[in-house]
Amino acid sequence: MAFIHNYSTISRGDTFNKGVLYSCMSTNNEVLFPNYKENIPGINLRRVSTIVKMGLANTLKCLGNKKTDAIVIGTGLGSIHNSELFLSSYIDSNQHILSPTPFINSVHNTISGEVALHTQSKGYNSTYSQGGLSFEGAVMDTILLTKERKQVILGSVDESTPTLDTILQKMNIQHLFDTGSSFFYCTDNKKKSLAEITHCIISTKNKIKSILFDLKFNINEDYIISGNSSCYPMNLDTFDYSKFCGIYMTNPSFGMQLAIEILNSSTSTCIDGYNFPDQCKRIFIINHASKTDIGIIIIKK
Amino acid sequence: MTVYVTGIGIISAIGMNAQENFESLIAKKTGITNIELLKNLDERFLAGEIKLTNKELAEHIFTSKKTDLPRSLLLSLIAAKEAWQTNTYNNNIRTAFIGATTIGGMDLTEQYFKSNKSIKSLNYHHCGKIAEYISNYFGINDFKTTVSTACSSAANAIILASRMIKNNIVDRVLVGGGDALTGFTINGFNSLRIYDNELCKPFDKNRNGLNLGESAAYLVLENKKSIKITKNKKIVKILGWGNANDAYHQTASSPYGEGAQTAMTEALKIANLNANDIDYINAHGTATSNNDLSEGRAIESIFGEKQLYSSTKAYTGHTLAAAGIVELIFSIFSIRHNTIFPVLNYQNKMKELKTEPVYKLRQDIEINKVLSNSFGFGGNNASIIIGE
Amino acid sequence: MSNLKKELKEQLIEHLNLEDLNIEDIKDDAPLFGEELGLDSIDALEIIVMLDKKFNIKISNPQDGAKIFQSINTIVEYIENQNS
Repeated sequence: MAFIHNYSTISRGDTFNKGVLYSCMSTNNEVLFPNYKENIPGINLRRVSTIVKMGLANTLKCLGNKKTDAIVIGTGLGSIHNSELFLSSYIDSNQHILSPTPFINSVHNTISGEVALHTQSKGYNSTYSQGGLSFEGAVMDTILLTKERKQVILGSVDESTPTLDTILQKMNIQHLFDTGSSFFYCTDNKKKSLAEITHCIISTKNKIKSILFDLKFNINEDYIISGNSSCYPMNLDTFDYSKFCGIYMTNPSFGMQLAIEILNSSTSTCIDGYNFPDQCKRIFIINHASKTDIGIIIIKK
Repeated sequence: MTVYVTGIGIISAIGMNAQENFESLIAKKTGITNIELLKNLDERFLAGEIKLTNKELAEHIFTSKKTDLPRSLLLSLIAAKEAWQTNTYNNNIRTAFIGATTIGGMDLTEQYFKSNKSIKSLNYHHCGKIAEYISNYFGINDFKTTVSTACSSAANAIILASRMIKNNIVDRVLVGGGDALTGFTINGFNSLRIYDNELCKPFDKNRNGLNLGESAAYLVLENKKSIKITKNKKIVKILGWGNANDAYHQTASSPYGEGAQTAMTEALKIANLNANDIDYINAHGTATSNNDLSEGRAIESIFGEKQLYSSTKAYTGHTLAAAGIVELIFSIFSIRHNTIFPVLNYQNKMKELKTEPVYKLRQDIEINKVLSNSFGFGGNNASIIIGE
Repeated sequence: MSNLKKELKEQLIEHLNLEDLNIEDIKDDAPLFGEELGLDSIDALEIIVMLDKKFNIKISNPQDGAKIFQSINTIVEYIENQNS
């Protein structure tokens, strides 16, 4: 199974430097981006999109001086900003000669490609975009890759823009999207690991009770967290972390870092009045991806 | 755990189904023409356009009028239905859906921004909507995802599907890709100055870029346990696969195709084969200056001077996220009919290569094992080997 | 520095997003695609777009870019030739 050795998140508050649990202990409304020039040395950042910068900064933090031979990333909407730029370049204006940069940057696997380019990682590389289940696709591949003895960079990025906000409001969608990115370094080596990904399941909501039963969900040791439980509520005792990172398609990755930090805490953890006792063994990240679909990622100490 | 292909389905500019596609290939008939249906393009472009409106495509699938679905989804439904055939939901067969797309619902999105059509159409924008719809349509619930790695998407989808079966996570996968023509992609590739305004010439000295095409192509993959229940006929096996990153440039391939070499070598290793065992290579062969040089050199470095490769992109156009499976299906035809479909529009040998692509229809050799390449932006290289 | 050179450098910096550079940093005869500026094939395409938009100069064959874009001087020379 996949063992997690390092992590990094860019989200509201100073998660990049202080971790996710720390920022959950206070109220933060703005995403805090790291200083990219400091954290991505040697790169010519001028043509690089926001989501790529986030992915790169997170990757380098996770890797340290280690190498990776597999990079898998999930993104729900890719670079919305560049898609908007390119769309408006050929639709509104009467330009007949178009700038290629926003087109290239709008391609979903730009993040994984740039990460490979900058780290000179010539191994496996893929990108998953399945709406609310985008991160889960990348996690499934990570489980396979660690079985194949690869050292994996697993990550997600999603961004929001004012145009996107306007559109969501016009569509009467109840929540706006946020910007966030979380990355992890995973291998098949249990030694010195922080936690393990034991399962990644995609299924339908009506099967959740039987899935939890099959996974031997134990109410005394296992806890459920979710980044969107308010979207399609279920009758399960859940800690919702969306107030700390916002809602975006790949926010289960934020949940993953949160789960790892909770499980590695030397004492019990209390966030916003919700208690994770010391004997907490597993955390289930349950993602209500749509009216019918759910994703479940299980993190174990 | 062996991975079998038991279903194929395809719609492209050269045919509405697998049989029609095969007949066009044998007749060396191209589907690349002036674009007629897609409006609002500033210039005249050649592309592999499927000459059916969305309404006409929908009529192939639904009894009621459904014109509000994105074109990639309509194409995907047609191809997926052909591949899925008589398969049904079965409690004992763990079944997944793995999709592939670059544009998702972008055709509707660009129409919205152009002419303020219904904002509801933006619901289909993201890449995962096709997978959501089709999984639901066929009752596939055990896993779903969509790969989006530009031109190598479908190949990577097959690679994931094969590994999920091999690792006993699922028994059966409906895997496929679909990308319709859009102003977004046509303008995009044109802005990179790699869009030929004539019919493309893969591996030709005077090649001038690609022509896009639209298509959807699907496979059903199963393990033995699933086949025992479904009783589907085995078509070919997925023998090996490789995925490697060039890490050279955001869009261009390295001069000697290092990433391509690694991907092909890995595929041979997994398949437990030597270069000599491969009878035919369906190359990525987009006819861009960069790809064909890089890929040609990579092929020669592994396979030597055997004349055993061609590109079929001059028949269908470059079908982006669907290409990997379109071309795998054409590779299946090669095996079934002991045929190599030649490149089209070929006149002059590339001076940098020792070899030439197959430029005449060949039906004089036995084809048992085929390797298919798909290379995308972001240095993404995927290779798949199939055989009986 | 002539007005044309100044404007060309300003447009280059803006269009290619060369945030760290001032017009003084770009020497007239320095190779644009060498080690210093680190421009690549995509930048060459962007320069073609910029010349069209800001200077009304059209370059139909991107392969010509290699010669024309060698330095600020060669670009200026090309613009002046086109305008005369």
